Amino acid sequence: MKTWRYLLWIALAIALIGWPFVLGNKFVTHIGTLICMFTLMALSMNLLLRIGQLSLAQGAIMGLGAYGSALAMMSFGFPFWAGFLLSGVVGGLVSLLIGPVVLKLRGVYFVLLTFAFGEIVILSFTEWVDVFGGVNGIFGVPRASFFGHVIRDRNVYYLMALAMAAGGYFLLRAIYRSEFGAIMDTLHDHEELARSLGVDAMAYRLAVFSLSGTIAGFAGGFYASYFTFVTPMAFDFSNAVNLVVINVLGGISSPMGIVLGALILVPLPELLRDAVEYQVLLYGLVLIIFLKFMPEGIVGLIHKLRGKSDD
Amino acid sequence: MTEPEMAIDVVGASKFFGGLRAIGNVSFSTHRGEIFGIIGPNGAGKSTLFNLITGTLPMTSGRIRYRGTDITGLGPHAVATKGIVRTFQSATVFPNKTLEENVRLGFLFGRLNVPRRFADRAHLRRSREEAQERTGEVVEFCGLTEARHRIAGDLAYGLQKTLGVAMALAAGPTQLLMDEPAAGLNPVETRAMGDLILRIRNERAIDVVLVEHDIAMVTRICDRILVINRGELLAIDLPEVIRNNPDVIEAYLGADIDLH
Repeated sequence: MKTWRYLLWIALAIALIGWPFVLGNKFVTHIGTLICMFTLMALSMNLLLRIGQLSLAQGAIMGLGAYGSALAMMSFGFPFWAGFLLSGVVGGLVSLLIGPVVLKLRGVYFVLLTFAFGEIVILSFTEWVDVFGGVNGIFGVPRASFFGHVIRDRNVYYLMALAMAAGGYFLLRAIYRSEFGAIMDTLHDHEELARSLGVDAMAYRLAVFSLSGTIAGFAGGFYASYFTFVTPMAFDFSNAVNLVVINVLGGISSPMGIVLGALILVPLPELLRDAVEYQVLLYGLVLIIFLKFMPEGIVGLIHKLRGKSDD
Repeated sequence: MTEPEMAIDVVGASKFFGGLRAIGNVSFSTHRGEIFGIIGPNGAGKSTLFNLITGTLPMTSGRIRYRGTDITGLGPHAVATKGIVRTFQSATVFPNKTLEENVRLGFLFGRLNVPRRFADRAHLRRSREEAQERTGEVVEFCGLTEARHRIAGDLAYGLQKTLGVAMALAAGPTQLLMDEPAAGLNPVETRAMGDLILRIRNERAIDVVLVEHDIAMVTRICDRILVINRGELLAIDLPEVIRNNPDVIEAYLGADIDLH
């Protein structure tokens, strides 16, 4: 049984790594890259949803990572690896700084405050033209490069995105299975009890918020060098909405749900190119149907069909 | 005769909610090795006083010391790490986990050193083994061994309340604060809870402060009783003295409570 599982993981890994090379379709590879990038972002959102806090600033934090990495490479001559590293640091540091203020609030107040913060970031990108290039953003962001070798092959970008998504996936899985994960679960519903036993709830919330910000920042760093341009509108609050839809569709309780959610939702805009206006309608329907009838998402449905309740 | 050693020392505690005075200049000390009861009619300020000590509510003025250390203004988790752990009036447990897992979390939550657990695998293994050992001991002490693999949310109310006490004990307190431990329990369960509290003090050397409605239970197990009325201290004395204090009887008149 255990060997089977092992072989299954290896087969899955080979399939995930190999398909773009076999298929050789640039467009499909691009979609695959987007799926991986949004999986990573949705995982960062999942960390927050797990402690019962929905941040609409997730796109803005990703944007800070993207702009930070772009400016570091273009204005300060950072090599790609340093710019990319900086994108995560910026995302985490900004979260660490605003966390003590915004995390004091719960529920809808937290949602509104993070929305406001996100708008301030986007406005700064738009209005501070000298630094951030205004509405047009920044063009000509250097591509990723390793040891002086510039990466132009789409398949390599896909592999980078895949590695990031896989890293995020296994990191979250390890966290959720640890005692840290047990504390995160209790922060959601039983904070008073946890605190009475000695848990510094604010410190844990801040740690989760900063980790989430770091992941979103890294996603931004990748974005900048993959697309070679950054614009303010790419990082507005609709990002966070999409991430929530991915989480709800796949199932908040398990990282595998996020992967499934991204796999289904990310290709939709490309498939619905001629009917973009229906996309938002579809998102709304998905949210209503899943929250009402399948709050555990697709993963919950699979578990129900297989008659088991845990991972 | 030597002075008893002080445990909790409250000096001039006041709490205002806007213009409403909930607690007015209350001072008292509990002793080491003591089960200390706080009683009073409904709305007298018992819960508010309790929440001031646990750090759930900030005081308007006054100071609180615990075993000589000033704990004024500390939040609930900081108070807990000083050794003061509270239990709740309603059954408060992690409902989706087993009874044993609940107690284990109680043990871990007070001592979790996350960076060290990630960095030092030997520390992680040791702390898990210790948690397992301590959990078994506390579960047995509270008489919960039989139900230890059951899901906490499915347990009967009385068992859930006992589990709440077990979790608090697992957190390793030197002082237990209990918010109405007998609330919602039937007479048999109330008696068992009272016996458990006595054993906690006698066998584990943990001091206990409890807020309670059940006067019979309070007078049975408490060494001294504080009576609070309209936010002010009415009396502190031995149970038999409190029972015959005319002011106390007056305060309870019409509350339909038999002090004897």
